[in-house]
Formats: sequence, C-alpha cells, structure tokens
Amino acid sequence: MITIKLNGKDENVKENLSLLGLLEDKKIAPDTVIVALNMNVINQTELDKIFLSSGNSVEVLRFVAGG
Amino acid sequence: MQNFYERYKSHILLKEIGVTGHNHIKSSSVLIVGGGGLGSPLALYLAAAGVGNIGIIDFDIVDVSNLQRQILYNNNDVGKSKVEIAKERIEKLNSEVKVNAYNEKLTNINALNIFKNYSIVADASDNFQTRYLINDACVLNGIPDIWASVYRFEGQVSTFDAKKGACYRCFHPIAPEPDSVPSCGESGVIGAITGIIGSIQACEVLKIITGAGTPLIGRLLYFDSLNMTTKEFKIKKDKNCSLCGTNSSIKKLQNYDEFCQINKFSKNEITPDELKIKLKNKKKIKIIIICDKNEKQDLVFPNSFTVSLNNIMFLKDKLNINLETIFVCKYGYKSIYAIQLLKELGYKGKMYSLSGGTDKY
Repeated sequence: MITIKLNGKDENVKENLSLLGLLEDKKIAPDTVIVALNMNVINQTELDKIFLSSGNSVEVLRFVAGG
Repeated sequence: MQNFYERYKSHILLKEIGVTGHNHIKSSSVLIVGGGGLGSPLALYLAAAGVGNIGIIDFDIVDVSNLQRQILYNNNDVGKSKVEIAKERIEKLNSEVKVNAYNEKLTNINALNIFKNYSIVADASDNFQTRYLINDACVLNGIPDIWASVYRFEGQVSTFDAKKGACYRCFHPIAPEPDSVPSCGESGVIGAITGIIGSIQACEVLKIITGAGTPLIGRLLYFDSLNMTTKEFKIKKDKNCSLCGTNSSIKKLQNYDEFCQINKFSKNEITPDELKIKLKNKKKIKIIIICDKNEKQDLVFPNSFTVSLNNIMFLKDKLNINLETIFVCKYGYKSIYAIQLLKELGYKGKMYSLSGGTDKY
C-alpha cells in the first residue's frame, strides 16, 4: 500500500494503481469528473496511463455545467 | 452629455485600466450566452463598466424559481422573455451600452453567425451541449471563451483561449453521459455563488479587454463557498486535441446533442411524442400535472390529477408503485424537481418527466 492525498485527506491505496483504477475503486464515472494530480488537470484520455506514487495529491472535482 | 470621467473614474484611476483601457471597454463587443444565475451579474457588471456592445442570448422566460439567484429579474418579470427584460434593465443602468437581445436557442446553425459580431464570449449557459458548442464556435472564430459553471455551493472558472492555451475540449474531451451530472434545477444551488462566479467572469472579461493582469488562461479556479476555500489547477493545452490540436479533426460545428448523447440515454425524460404514443396505445400510466393555483393549465390528460409543487411530497404514499408515473408541468423543470424529490423520499416506482413541458406538447 502507498499513501496519497485524495481531496486533501490521507488515503491508502494499492501500489501500481492508475488514476483510472482509483476512480473505478471509488465507483466514480471518469466522464463526470475533473481529475487533477498535484494540481495539474489530467486529460481524460491519460487517466489509465498515469500511476500513483506515494505522496501524490489527487483532487477529484465534479464536472458541472450549471449556470 | 454626461462626463465620462465622472461616471467611470473608479476604473480610470486604476493604472491597469486608465483612459486607454476604458476606451477599449467602450469599443468592445461581448456576447453572454445564458441570462440566468451567471449571466445576471455578468450582464450588470459589464454594462456598468461601459462595455459598448453587449449581446445576450437565451430562449427562456423568467420563472418564479429563477428569482432566488437571477438578479436581473424581479417579481413583475415572471412569465416574460429573459433577454427582453435583460435589455431593458441594462439600458436603464447604462444608456451608452448597445444591447442585442437574441430570444433564441444557441444552435450549431446560428452560432457562428452570431459570434462573428463579438470579440469575446462569456459562457453562462446551463448544459453541456451548449458549452461544447460555445467552445467550438469560439475556437473556429479565434476568440476567447470566458467559461464558468456552478453546482450547489461550488463554482469553477477558466478562460479558454486556444490561441494562448487550452480550450474546453483540452480540459474535458469526453462529454458526460446525460443524467450522470445533475443541473442546478435538480441539485440546488446557493444563489450567491452564481453572483460570485458570474462576477469573476465579468472581471476576466474586463481583464481580457484591457490587457490588465493575468487572465485564467490555462488555469482552473475552483471556489467552494461551503468551506470558503479556493483552489487553482493548471490546464495543459492538448496537442492532440480534436479541435485545437496540431492535427485537429473538427473543422466545423458538430451535432452537440449527439456528442452529449442526449437522446440516447435520457433516463427520466419522456418526449411529447413518446407520451402521445403511450396514450394512443392506452398504456396504463398515471399522469401528474404540476400546476400552482396561479398558473393556467390548458391541456387535459386522461387518468391524471393536478397537484401544486408544494404538495409533491405527499404523493409518495399515494402513487401506485407498479404504474409508470409521468410528471407534467409547463416547462419541464418542476417535473424533474418532483422526480428528484420523490426519489430522495425513497419512492421506488418508475417516473418520467415530460421533456420541455406542456409548452412543447
């Protein structure tokens, strides 16, 4: 296990977990959110190619259209 | 003639704006898409600042439930065209501003033609199809899209300018499935957040016009009013972006309903034609007409009864769980709200909302 920060809180996740894997574990549909790794928005098509390391900060924001 | 220095001195005193900046503001043309929660403060602040040409496009009329946040309108405006009222209000605030009111829906047919009259577009719309359409039309016309979006207590803002940074498609290339992301009408929104975020948008517009400061190009500002915190994220331009990337495949406007899979997956909505077919086939359904005392309801439906929005919660124990229930209201918003409310109360029966309401029936 490694420890990351998920929306500001410590979270233990398995090693070699991709950002897409993290969303799947949390049952979050990737098209409904904005995912940022260390404050950089990650393109949806890259989520399966980026793997988490210990100490990473991940923010998951809702992708919304309200006005 | 009014002395312009008196009127605009608080802007002119700012060294980042000054007389030159004010003249730029005066000769600028800004289109606001959506005259709702974000569009209201945007229109008011841009008009107050003396933006020479303001376009505002919206096909909606003022509903009493809009007054909680849409500060362009008041009690007397309910039932009237939003853009007509907006035009009146803006002209009253600043008669030097020329307002173009477009009482129509922004579509892939009219967008480029409307956009060509403006050098900046502010996206204050309320759905994904329009947001992708605005972005694409802005990129194709080479103008910036000052974008913002709100949800419950949160707001997000960015400036998408493909010439200098990311566009909306770089930010989020794949549209979410319909119904997977609730709208303001469904999830609720605190009125003041639309004021905060719409004002940030207005500030961004004025910065772009005058060249003051650092715009939100390539950055996403996230504002959480529940905990009063902000966060800032970087948005990278995607060199493979289908719209603004090096080998872009999108050269003209698309079908945005298709792109957002609107008709494919809409789970809780039923179109007027689908309802007519159900009624023609004498399918066993219950129709609930949501209509308040002061509203006029002209249509008659079989096997139906009328309730006011305030009494929806009492339906939970009255509805037959084995029967499909179709909620019908004038514009198709209260019906969505009714379904949401009954779902929250734990009602498990099948429910549909008549899309577009009786207005479109």
